Amino acid sequence: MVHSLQYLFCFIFLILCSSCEKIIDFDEEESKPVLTISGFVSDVDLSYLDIGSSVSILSSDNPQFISNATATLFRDGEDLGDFELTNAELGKYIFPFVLDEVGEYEVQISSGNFKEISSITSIPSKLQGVEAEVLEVNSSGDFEVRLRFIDNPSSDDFYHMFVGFSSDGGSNFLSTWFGSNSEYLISEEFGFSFEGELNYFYDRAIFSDQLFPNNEVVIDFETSIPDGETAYIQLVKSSEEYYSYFKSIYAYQGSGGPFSQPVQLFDNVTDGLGVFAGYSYELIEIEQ
Amino acid sequence: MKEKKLISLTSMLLLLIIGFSQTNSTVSGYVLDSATGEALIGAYVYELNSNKAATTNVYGFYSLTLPSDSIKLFTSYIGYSSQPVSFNLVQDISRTFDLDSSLELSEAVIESSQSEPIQNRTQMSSLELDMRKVKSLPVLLGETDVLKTLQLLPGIQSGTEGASGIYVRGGGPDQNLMLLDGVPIYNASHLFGFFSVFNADAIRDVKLIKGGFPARYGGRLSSVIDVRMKEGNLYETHGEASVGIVAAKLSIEGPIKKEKSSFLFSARRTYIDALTRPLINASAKQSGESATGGYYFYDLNGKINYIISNKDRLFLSGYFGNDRAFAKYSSSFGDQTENMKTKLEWGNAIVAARWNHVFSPKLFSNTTLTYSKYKFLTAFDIESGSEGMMEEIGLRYDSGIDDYSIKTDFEFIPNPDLNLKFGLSFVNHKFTPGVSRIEAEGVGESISLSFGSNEIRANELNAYTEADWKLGDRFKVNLGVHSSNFFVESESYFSIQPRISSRYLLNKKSSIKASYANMTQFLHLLSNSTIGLPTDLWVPVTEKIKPQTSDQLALGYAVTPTKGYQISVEGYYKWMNNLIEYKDGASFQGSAEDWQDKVEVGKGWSYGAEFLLEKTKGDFTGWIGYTLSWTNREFENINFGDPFPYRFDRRHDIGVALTYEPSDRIDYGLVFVYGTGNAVTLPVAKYNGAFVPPTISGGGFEFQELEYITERNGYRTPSYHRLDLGVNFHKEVSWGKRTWSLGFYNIYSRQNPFFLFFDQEYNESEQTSENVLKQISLFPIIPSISYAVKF
Repeated sequence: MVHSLQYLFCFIFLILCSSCEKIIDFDEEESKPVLTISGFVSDVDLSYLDIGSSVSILSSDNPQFISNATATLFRDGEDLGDFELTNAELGKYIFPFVLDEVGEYEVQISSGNFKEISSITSIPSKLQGVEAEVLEVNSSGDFEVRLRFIDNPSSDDFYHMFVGFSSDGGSNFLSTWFGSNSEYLISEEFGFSFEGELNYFYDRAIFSDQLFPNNEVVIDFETSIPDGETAYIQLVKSSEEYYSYFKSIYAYQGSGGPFSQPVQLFDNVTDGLGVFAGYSYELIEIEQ
Repeated sequence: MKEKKLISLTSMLLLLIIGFSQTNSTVSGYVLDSATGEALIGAYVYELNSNKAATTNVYGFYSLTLPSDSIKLFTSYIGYSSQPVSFNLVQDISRTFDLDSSLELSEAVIESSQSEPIQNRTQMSSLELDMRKVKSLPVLLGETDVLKTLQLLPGIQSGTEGASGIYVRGGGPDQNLMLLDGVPIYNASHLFGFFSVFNADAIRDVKLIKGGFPARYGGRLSSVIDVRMKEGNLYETHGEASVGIVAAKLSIEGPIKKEKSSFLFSARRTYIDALTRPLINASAKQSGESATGGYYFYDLNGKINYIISNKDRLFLSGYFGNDRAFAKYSSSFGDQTENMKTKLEWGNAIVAARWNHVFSPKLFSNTTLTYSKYKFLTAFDIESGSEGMMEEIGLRYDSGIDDYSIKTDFEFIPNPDLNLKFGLSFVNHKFTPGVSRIEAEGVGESISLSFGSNEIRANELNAYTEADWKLGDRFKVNLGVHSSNFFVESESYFSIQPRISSRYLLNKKSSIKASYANMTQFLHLLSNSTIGLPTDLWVPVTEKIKPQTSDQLALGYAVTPTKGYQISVEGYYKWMNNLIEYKDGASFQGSAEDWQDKVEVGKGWSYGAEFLLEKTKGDFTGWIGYTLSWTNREFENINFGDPFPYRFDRRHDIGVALTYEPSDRIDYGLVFVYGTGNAVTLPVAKYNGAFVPPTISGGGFEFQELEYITERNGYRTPSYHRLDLGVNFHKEVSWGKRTWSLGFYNIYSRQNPFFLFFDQEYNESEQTSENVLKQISLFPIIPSISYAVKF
């Protein structure tokens, strides 16, 4: 009887496994190749674009970078000039001078037979009242640090915070972990905590000023700094596009398990794909 | 002004009650199955002279107050009947009716023999299952399942292939209040959702309400599935046993003390593990290792029923079910050994003690104490090293719920035109939404860490009152209000939920119905999957996550065009608020964050029309159901704030269930289902995108090939359809009855979509490969056979 049932079960199992996979049609209408950009404008660094083209998800080809594009930058409707190609292999285009004004920026890009694309962002106003101080060095040698800055209550602002060190005055900034119980940070989803302990951030925290009850922001955190290095906080004030894009990228980086929800990447490019975003930042030395 | 109206209305009601009470007498009691002594739920007690009627409640109790005169009472229930009984009603009397399913009636009696016709009922959007029909229909692997049968009815959708989870009028699987003998069951799934926990052999009655909810029900937005277990035969000991492809079942019921107390015991266990274990062992031995593994589930149902007196009855019932998947593996190389074991377990345990008390012929009460537990556990342990130098690592993940509750319900029936219900309940909840533990022990070192969501305790207080009121010959209304107070952490949520259902008889055969129900739900289900995985987490409302609420309007038409047929058409619109959904990229695993930080809160809405044609009498019975519906969700941070289709938004859904019983020796069953494809999220393009912020060195990883998704749930899987056929051969033998059941699930072997994924397909002749979209299907044609005996 048991053997009969075993044979029957094996038979059914074989049926279950047979022909369970098949190719089905996929409507590709939405996925015709379009121009793509990863573009950032800043009043601190040179602004740049990486221009490429998308391919259908079913394509065997990899998406390519484009070296024959024309990209023009506008500020509040005024033509500021074209980006210049600096690396054909990576489709990198740099704007020839550092932008020195906050405001609304638009980029228009065309290349060959691709449909022209455009995107708009803004460079936020500069950070104000940024200060950092070491509160104490705890028994395990970690530094307890306080960061203060002023948030502009009349605008929606977005922040990206890194902690790191550098031995050359900040030119080569290596980010490191930091831990905090600041309500601004733990309200965001990129922390990692063990019960009763601090929320640890691998090397970044991204947040919006909707979390701040008033305009003076205080964030206390812990970090470790190797001997001989100078520690810094890099505080980025960004456009909403920058914030939305990197939030979606971090969710994308953390996804991929069998039970993960899909991630829709933020996109603010008309007739194309990618991101065009503005930011400003300060590198604040943590005086030990 | 409003107060005056309320006072006038209350005065009228009291006058109606008092006036009626002074000039009439009441006949009350129970309607029972004459063969078993079990109560018949929803039996119709009808007085032929006055045309007044009553319906038995879930304990089989009825009360009918009539003018003191000569009366002629007739009692009926689907498949049962009795001869009319005449007597002089001069004072309140208690009368119990025993109905016989085999009684042959005169034509005249048959003509008036019916359950309450569909057009007469105030309750709309309600469906009842005949357990005999459930057992006649073909099902996957021959395992009879009430939830799968419910999926064939309009407005009730299945999730994915073979799964028993249900989605009612655009609601989620958490929005169904599944009650087994009045106790909530949190995870009604076995085998990852392919079977439900309801063992058909232990079940007597199933009722589903999907709209126009009576006030006595609360706590869920979309449906109430009220499953009642058998009470146990009061007269004789009987049993049922069956052996199928995946499971065996045994049920025994009988009197403990004849006509006074009875018991029911039912057990079911799968034996997939027993069949697969030798194969796994043999395979492992061939490669010089030791391994074993398997999966099984079991259910145990038990009930004791004790009749203390005509006025008092006690019931004690319990259900215990568990699923367990496990694997063990050992290998050694030289003096190094490695032992690994892993397990996945989940299950429910419920216990209920009930006391029925008849205070007077017009006042019935039921008091219930319940305990309900759901637990989910996954564990992984690995031990490696050499003797004396072993290192051990253990990972565990636990979640679960424990509920204790007490409730009292009263039913007051002052006259045949008014039925009042009111009650109170208190529930103490303990939630463990998901705690992970890591324990490691090595040479000279040990680590023990736990992280995740903390235990949450909550208390819930509910009260309700409802009146089923007949106003004139044509109009009947069910008015009620359900109030809830939920205390969690330092927050308290209070809600008043008004309900109304009404029907207006157009003529003897047809009526129009309308209903409105406001519902509040204090629990959420966090789900990553489209099947009923035990990893779905039940979580309570908190200070941050508010209760789900809904408002549902429904309008319907019901008609009995000719004897044995009934048709209902309903339209509905449902609004749902404070729904939760995992954030983009989030899942229950792989992170120590609190669950509250992983979810978005939003809203949803669903609307549609449902059509049901039923044939209830004759050799050939069954139904055809059709649903046309739209269901959407909207969350601020999902799909960029734009509305998107719910994953089980199904434009067309057809369910056909037919049985043909030409004789007592054979019956045939047919099931056909068709559904629009599910809404899924697929990327449409890939491109190189910035992967690290511009102010940080990317170390060569500044760019990544990214997949672009246009819209959440923007792609439709191919439609779903299948045909199942079954035949049951019955034979009366000296010791009882035996049945051979043969069935074919998906007889034309339709490859229905289970999930979609992108893959590379290699073309050998051209030596090229291309990316393609593939569909995985689960069940082609699946034959089943089972053997059952009744003794």
